[in-house]
Amino acid sequence: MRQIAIYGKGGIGKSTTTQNLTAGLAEKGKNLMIVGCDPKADSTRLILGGLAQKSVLDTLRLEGDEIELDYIMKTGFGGIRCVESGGPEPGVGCAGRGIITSINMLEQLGAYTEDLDYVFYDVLGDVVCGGFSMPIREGKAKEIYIVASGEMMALYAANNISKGISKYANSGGTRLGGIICNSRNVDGEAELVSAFAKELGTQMIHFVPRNNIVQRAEINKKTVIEYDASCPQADEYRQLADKIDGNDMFVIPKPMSSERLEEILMEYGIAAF
Amino acid sequence: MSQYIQNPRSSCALGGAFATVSRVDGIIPIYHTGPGCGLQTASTGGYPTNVVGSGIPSSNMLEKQVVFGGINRLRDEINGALEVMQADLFYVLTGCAADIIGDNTTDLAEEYKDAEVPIIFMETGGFKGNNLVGHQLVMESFANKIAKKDFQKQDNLVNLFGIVPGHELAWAGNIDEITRLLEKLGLKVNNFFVPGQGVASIQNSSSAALNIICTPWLLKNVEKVYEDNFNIPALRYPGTPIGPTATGIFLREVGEALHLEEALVENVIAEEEAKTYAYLEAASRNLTRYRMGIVGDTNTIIGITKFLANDYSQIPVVIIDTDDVVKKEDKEKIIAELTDLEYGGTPDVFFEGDQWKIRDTLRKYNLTMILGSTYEKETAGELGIASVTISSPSTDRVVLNHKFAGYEGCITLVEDTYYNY
Repeated sequence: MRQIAIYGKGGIGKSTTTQNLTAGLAEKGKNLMIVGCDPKADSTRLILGGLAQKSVLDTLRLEGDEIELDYIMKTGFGGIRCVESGGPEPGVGCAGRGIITSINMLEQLGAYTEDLDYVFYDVLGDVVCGGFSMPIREGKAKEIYIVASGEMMALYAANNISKGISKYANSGGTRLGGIICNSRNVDGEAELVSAFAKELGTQMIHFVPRNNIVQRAEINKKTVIEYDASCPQADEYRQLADKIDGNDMFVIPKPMSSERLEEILMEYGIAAF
Repeated sequence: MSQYIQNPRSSCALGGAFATVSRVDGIIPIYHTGPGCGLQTASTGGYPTNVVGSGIPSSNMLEKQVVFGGINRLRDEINGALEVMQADLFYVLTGCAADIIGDNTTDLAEEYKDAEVPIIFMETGGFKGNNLVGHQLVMESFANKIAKKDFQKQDNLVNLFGIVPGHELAWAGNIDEITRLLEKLGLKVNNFFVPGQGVASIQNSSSAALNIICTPWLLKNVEKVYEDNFNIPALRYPGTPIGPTATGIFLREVGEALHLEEALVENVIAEEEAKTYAYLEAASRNLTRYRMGIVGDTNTIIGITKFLANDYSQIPVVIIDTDDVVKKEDKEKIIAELTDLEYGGTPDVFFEGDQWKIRDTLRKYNLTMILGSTYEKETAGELGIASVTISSPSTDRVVLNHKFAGYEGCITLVEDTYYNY
């Protein structure tokens, strides 16, 4: 079982990328589970065709912890099992602890079955406290992919997340598998993200071009692969799925100083904007 | 890496807040904490656990309350306490978990503002600091929230602060003795903490003519609140006065600050001294001189050192202040008090809370007696010398109203000194 955590700046397209990627892996016959680790509980909407699911924490709050796994786990496109951690109401309690609570509960309920090829954790963009690093602690996700674009703030965030990864990499064996570039049509984007990835000691594992079909599929509560299996964008996600399935480059990232990050940005002409 | 200490002598901010509010007759604390905090803080609250008990209403926050917020659980607990517990005042004290997740007790305070018994809400998460931090936070809230805003000055009313419940081993007896002496000067004393004082003494504290603050370094904010809000000046005496010399100075300073008749003050001092010196004279016939190490909180070590050196011809060789004194100016003030003695030698003074380091220091001085906490009994046993428990923590003696302060206290201290094992 490969356990993979997807991190990246808020709004960069982690949930969209994760769901399209997992749809690609499911098409290849893989058994998958997605664990949404965002209090907004919107990580599995495209796989399930809507926000159809009770989150672990909502269930815990309303029903207590004497529940069956079926109650919180739903199966969607391609047999992908979906769980949403959820969170407390905004502004109250501790969402970070909530992630820890819900992952512990999934383990207790036996969600991690041996037939699973992949478990994906889709984590809130801003890793604000220890709770949101839960998926990469205690030997859970050993592989991490960071979703980024050529925009400056996305790369800053990716660099910062790498600092967190290197912290856990030294103690827990977590490794960075690559940067997924979710294009924003920025000038020289592929070169910039490649150079950035290289500097971190990793790779840009795939460049996902921007295409409005992704938004159309989202409006229809579907992944691109389900919405229009023959379109070129579906192939992009299939390629990403293939690359991740065959990836053998796992590194402890070497986060760079802010000065070095600025230099790379200057080199590729972005800072001029 | 953070530092750790062996055998800490202080509790956390919550523990200090608990020791303070729970010693006032009529105040019941309500904990908004995890389930272990009550027992843990009650056991360090100034009495041995089996004496004080630990029946504290508590929300006992579990993981569910941490994740989703614990305000509803706390509300249930408060309602339960209002129903079954008889108090003049409730104090809701929050612990670390509630403060970390930011449970909003401010809104809850608003909800209960018209409750039949007043409820005060305080953030006292243990991570704010040690028990002295908690004590000072509560004392400030006493001044800000309980002391009457419409007050009438009373010339003969004083407040007595600085002897911290649960921190000084003989805090209650010490407060009692100083109160006894001040009453002999014709004063009424709000000391808040000994039986019989209660919430009314805190309410009336704004009417006082003088704040007598017996500590060289604590309660600066409290002093300011009383000055600013109630126009009450402060007289600081640096420590707990123990023995005729120190207590005489203390009473004369009080007399001067309140413009009391000199004859009245001198008569009280003469009467007390006559009795005290008679006992000390009897004891001195059997006087054994000790090379002493003294270990404890700031107030206790200052009081005992001055008494031993100035009144009783003993030799304090090394003194270890176990309080977490951080500011340089406070340290200097304390060292000055401990070294300005009517005695040829000057003791070495250290600030240290770690048991291993304290023991290491004591070993170097060729001592024949250690006055300290129960922890020092172990060191004394190892060195084969005498020891007496005079500071917290104490698990080898039950201290309820035992005293070291003033005139009567110094006699019991001498008795203790010769009852060593």
